[in-house]
Amino acid sequence: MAAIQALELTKHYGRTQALKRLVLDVPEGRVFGFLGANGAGKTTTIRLLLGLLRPTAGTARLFGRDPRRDVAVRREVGYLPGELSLYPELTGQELLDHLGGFYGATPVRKEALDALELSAADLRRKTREYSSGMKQKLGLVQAVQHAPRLLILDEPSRGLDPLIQRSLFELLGGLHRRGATIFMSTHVLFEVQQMCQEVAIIRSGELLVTGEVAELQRRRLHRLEVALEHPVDLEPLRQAGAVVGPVDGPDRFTCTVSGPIAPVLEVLSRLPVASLACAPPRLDEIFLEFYASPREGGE
Amino acid sequence: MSWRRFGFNLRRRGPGAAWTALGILGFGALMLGAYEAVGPAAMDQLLMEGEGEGLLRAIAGGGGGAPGGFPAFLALIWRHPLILVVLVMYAAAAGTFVAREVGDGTVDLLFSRPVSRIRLALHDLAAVSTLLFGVTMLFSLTLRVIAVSLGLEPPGWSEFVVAGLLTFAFAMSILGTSYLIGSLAREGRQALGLAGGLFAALYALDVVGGIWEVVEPYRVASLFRYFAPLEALARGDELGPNLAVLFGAATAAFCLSLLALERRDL
Repeated sequence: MAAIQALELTKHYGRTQALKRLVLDVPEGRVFGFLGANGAGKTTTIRLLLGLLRPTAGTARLFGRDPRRDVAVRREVGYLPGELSLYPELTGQELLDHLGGFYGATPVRKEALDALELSAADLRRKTREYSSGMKQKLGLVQAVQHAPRLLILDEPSRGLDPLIQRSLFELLGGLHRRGATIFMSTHVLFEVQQMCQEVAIIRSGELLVTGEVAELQRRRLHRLEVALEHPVDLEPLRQAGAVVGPVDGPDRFTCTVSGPIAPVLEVLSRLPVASLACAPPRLDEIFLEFYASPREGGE
Repeated sequence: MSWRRFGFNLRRRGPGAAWTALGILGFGALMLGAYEAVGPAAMDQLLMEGEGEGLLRAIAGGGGGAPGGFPAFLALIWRHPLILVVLVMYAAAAGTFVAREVGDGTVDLLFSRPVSRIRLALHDLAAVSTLLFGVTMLFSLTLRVIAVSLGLEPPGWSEFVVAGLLTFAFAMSILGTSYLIGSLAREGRQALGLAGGLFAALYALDVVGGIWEVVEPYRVASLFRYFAPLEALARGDELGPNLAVLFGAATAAFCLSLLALERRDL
């Protein structure tokens, strides 16, 4: 069963089209990255999925159920908002108890508190005294504490130091291994590359592409690292469709190819190549390629 | 009904209610102290005679002319602008909670839970109305205790209970209207501004209608018109209709607010 389904999901704010006929299918048990620049429509999509916004057209489904009409389905969901605000007059403990009270049991709370290094003393303090990093940690704990089947995280690592980020990924990895689906919206591509099996890229409210990270890496781009025996004119490579750069000395360069690679290899075969390595493109290169190009046909 | 959530909402709203009760009780006690110090006869003469009589009668509220005496002075306390401002501010702030959750950014945290918006609003309403009942009854009954302790001769307990009930009905009508505004407004400050403006206009309509015949017919549109403590203390004929209008307005506005809440984007 799909954990998340968006069927032609559309949202207008007056004349502004925030989301245009989004079609998305996230199977259960996947770690799914939802990528886009600021204002691309990531948060609007998430708030539509949770039933906080009414779609202008189309439908959203969580585990096959409409989250607006069938609010009980949200019992299966843990959610971390992107712009996290807490009730300043409550202590961390009171907030977790109150929010956890909607679900009954909170079996993952202690594990999450330990992983994110939130102590009992921290929880006794009012949240108005928390730093932004501590607020984010508390937000993460409230999202995972009831062991949801689906985690929707909007910018989960915002404000966390690198060590805690690593602990967060370990925690999320553990939840995923126990069967949780993770839907993660972010523009930090490194964490997507670390965590996600599948991604969707959204720009200006339109889905550009969706697919497995490995498949996108294989299909979209080729990245060659070339060392030459002596410097030569690289213009023939550019004419064959390669993007050359960054050059590390006169005889070493990288060569990124989108589209057919055969003409580039043919040019390289005529050059004095000392060594050639083909590395998978980084996700940021794929992302930038989609963002730089005109609207793709999608997948 | 979740008692846990009810208790949580009581704790969150409690401090505001306590300050409201303290504020209006302190002011009421001062007014009674002044009445006792000046002396009933002198105060009666001061308030109900001379050029300001009409305005004072209008502030004291009610349909007809307010008679003099201690009950009229009590009505003046109940409807004193300071008391009304404090009470209305608390009810309006509590009632506009949806817009304030949106404005404060906590709306995602609360409304993404596996509970319907209507149930969340009802939990909030239950807590706030309990607190309002407590505040209004405490105010009413404490006024009588203070009056007796000062050697004044107030009406009986039951009259004060009825006056407290009328105050509660009035506060609920403000609360219901505020819920409606809070469900329609984009965010908290806008909602509070709208609520403040509306209630100020309704109060002005009631007071001006009390002293100017041209405006008098329009007083029926003001919630303040039905908050007539003198009628309650005297168990007058208008008490029942006043209670019905205020509770009816509260219920209607709250039901409309639920409809608006269901349909709105958060």
